[in-house]
Amino acid sequence: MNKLKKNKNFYLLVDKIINKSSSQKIKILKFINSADSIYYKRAEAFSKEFIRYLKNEKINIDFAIKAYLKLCTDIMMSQKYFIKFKKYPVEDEKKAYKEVYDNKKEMKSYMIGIGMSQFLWPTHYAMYSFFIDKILNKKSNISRYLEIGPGHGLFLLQALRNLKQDTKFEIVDISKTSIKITKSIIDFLVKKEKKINYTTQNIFDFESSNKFDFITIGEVLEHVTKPQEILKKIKKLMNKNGSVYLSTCVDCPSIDHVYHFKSIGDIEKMIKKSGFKILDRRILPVEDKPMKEIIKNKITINYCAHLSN
Amino acid sequence: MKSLEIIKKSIKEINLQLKKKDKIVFDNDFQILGPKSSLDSLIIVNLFVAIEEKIKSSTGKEINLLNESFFEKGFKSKFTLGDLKRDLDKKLSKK
Repeated sequence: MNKLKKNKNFYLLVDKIINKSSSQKIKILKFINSADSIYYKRAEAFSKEFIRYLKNEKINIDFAIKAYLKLCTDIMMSQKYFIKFKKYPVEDEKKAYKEVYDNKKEMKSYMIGIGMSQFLWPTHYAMYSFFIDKILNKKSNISRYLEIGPGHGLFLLQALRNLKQDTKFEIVDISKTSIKITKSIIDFLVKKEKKINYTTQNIFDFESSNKFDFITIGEVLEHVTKPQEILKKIKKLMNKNGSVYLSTCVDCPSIDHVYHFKSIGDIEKMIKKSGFKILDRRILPVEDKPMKEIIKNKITINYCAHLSN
Repeated sequence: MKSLEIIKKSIKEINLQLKKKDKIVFDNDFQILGPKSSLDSLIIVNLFVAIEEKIKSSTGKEINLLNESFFEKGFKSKFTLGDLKRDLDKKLSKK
């Protein structure tokens, strides 16, 4: 708790959440009490900017806390459905589009909640750190960056801050609402002029005359009915020496997940079948239990990987 | 099957998945949600699904113990096994 209190903006957010939810209190404190100093530095920097952004957008902090708790409740209700019926509550991406991505109110709440989860859930933070490491390692070779489905914009923000000044950024999302949210975050937080092009389009219809050195596709595959087709499309858009950051999940019911990966093997088979090599990856179960138990009880596993040709 | 028995059976089933220190204690004051609760959200969901399924198989009744309002209620205050039994009795008597 002492380390947390030293980081006043992060403490403000965490304190509000743990006072409203006992189950979140257990999970969050368990995670942040064992976190290192880099984590606290990043979490405080995020919280400071996040609070400034909320203020600028005239969004009350309590609305953000509610949005985060709503996300947790939505996941629990989806989990209940999954345990009962052994399938995800939504199987049609058009339904998810109508109810979530194209719904301004729902999308705003969802993006705020997911943004906060990046620092409150160990698996989400691990994926965020993995991404930063890969971007930093490759930064001198990246002149063209593509991100598909940037959502809350936190990954894009890292790319913008860490890649060369003259890097060209291409952002594609099927949801107008999502692009609007990403753009408002980036415009507010990135002061230096950057070459960013935002496109509201289905990735299957997206064409580019130049290929990309780095492609980010975080938490997208599980939102579509044909993820393999997206991987094939990415392969076409990637430079010969380019690479991809990808994340998805196994047994992870949610209000807008439609494709059910049943194992890590399922994901990696699809990646390899699409012509990629896995350079590095993280397998991140959401519960601290032996893998045998995680698989048997169908507990969510987050997954991220760095891919090449 | 009485509600108490259903809860007891479900707890027994869920406890099989838990470490000794995390096991649910069959006691009216045991907090499912609240400051003294040690249950993570997935265990709570599993417990409620087990109860709902047992009700269905023993009485044929479909009840919904776990909905969005449950989490909202729980976020603000505590919810004990005693509360769960009362909720269940109320729902079963209504049908």
